[in-house]
Amino acid sequence: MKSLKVILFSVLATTGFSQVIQDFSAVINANTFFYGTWEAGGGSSVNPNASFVQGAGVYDITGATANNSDLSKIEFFFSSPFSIGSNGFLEVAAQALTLNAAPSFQVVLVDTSAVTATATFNASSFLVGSYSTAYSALTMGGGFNAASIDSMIITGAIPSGTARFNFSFDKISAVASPIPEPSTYAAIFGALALGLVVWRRRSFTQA
Amino acid sequence: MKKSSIILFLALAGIPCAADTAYSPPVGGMTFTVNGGTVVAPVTTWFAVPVLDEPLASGAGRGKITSFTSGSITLTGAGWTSGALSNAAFPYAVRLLSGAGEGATLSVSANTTDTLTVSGRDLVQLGVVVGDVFQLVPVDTLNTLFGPDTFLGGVDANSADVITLSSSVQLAYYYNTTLGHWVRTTGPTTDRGNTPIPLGSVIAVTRKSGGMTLRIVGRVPETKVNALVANAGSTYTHTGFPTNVTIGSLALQTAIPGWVSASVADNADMLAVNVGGTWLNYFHNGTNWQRTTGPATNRDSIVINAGTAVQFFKRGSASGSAVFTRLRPYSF
Repeated sequence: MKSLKVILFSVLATTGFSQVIQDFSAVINANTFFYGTWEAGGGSSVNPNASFVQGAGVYDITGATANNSDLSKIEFFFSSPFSIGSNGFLEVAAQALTLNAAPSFQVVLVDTSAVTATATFNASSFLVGSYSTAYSALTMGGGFNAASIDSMIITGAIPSGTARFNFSFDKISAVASPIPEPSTYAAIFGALALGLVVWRRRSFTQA
Repeated sequence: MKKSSIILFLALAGIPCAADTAYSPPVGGMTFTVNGGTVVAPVTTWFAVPVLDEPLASGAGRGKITSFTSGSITLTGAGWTSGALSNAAFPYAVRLLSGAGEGATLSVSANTTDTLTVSGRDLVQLGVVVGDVFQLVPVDTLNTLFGPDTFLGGVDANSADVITLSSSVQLAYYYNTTLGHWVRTTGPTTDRGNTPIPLGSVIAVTRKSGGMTLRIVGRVPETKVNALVANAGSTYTHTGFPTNVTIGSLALQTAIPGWVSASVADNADMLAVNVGGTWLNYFHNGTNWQRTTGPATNRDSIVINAGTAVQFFKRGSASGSAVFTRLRPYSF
């Protein structure tokens, strides 16, 4: 079984360690702030646009007035700075809602010195109608301190953008590298199973 | 064309200057990394250019004011070519180098061989006197700074890189490859290649192709900052010099008359700093600077890097402008 252990180890090394940053189970709280058209109105606010919906472990950013301007965003402050270690990618589990017209969005990590690391996600990377996962590498600003992250921002990020931003978020995590899609897992474990069958047949033959 | 090479540095290069000045203003370059994106997932990079071009037109590049009105400057014997400094394709500005109006910038709208017609500030109200020194500063346009091929052009705004110029307003442009000129992203397809990029304004590149590096060379400002900030709403600009500065040292609460500090963000004027494509907002709480949201941590030590785009947001509905002043943080 030595070769099997080696293969399994390499699969785990490829997937890296996933660290959940936001699970969207309780978005509305004193540490979450909405800006621009994503807020209820009147300065940076803890109150979201009225059409935003907190679901069971998911959060829907919806509504005709929501847009993808760089000035419209949601920011999650953390009760104390945290580290993402050497993870260089963000993993977002989300779905594009039916009315979404925004082509992309960004997730920005802000360290305690206000230096950022940004990941851009293509809206078409997500399924419409069911949750799926996409990955993007973090582009880190000079001096970004991955060990002292203060807040995280989601924004459409387009100057004067007016496309309708309609997304439902399930989870955002930091990962070392993109995790294979389920189909890739199926292929890997299919190969492993085939290898196991061959190995057992050879064992039986030798016996 | 400012396009050239060099990473941020300040090299003491010899720049010809009038006998009025006993120093050589340093020439340097700034490198801006424009992050890559795609047509479906564009990425926007914001930056501002706090260095100045050298005059190319014939005649005096600087001098002592011989006479003036509220909207004109005369320099006897300047030797300018009539109209050369007000050519839409190669516009110029005047920056005052001394006197009560030091640092103020005015646009040149017409010129004769010895007189400039200027606008944007009132020379009388600025307290200008005969003998004050001024310099001519070329103002870049979309054509002169970027030309047709610096960025990704396209048949429409969806397929091309979009350049958003922000000062008191935001206007977006792209290079239309069918028409062979710059156009606004909305409205008529008029040639906008001569659109000036005002000194002190902010540039956003919404990139739909690979990452790139912009290298811009220019002369460091010789004067203090003396710029207008709208009394209500947003003014997009930079911190005035090609050097880093902390939010505490920038001290907008004293640098802009009428700046409102308050114990809660909703009642205070706001400084927004663009980092990583997003804006982080700060306000002065009467004692120190803090984020408009989140913990009330003292953010005075946060560094604003040279060339960073910032927004001064003043609440209320007062008309007119206040003057942002900041002393030159270096000496020659």
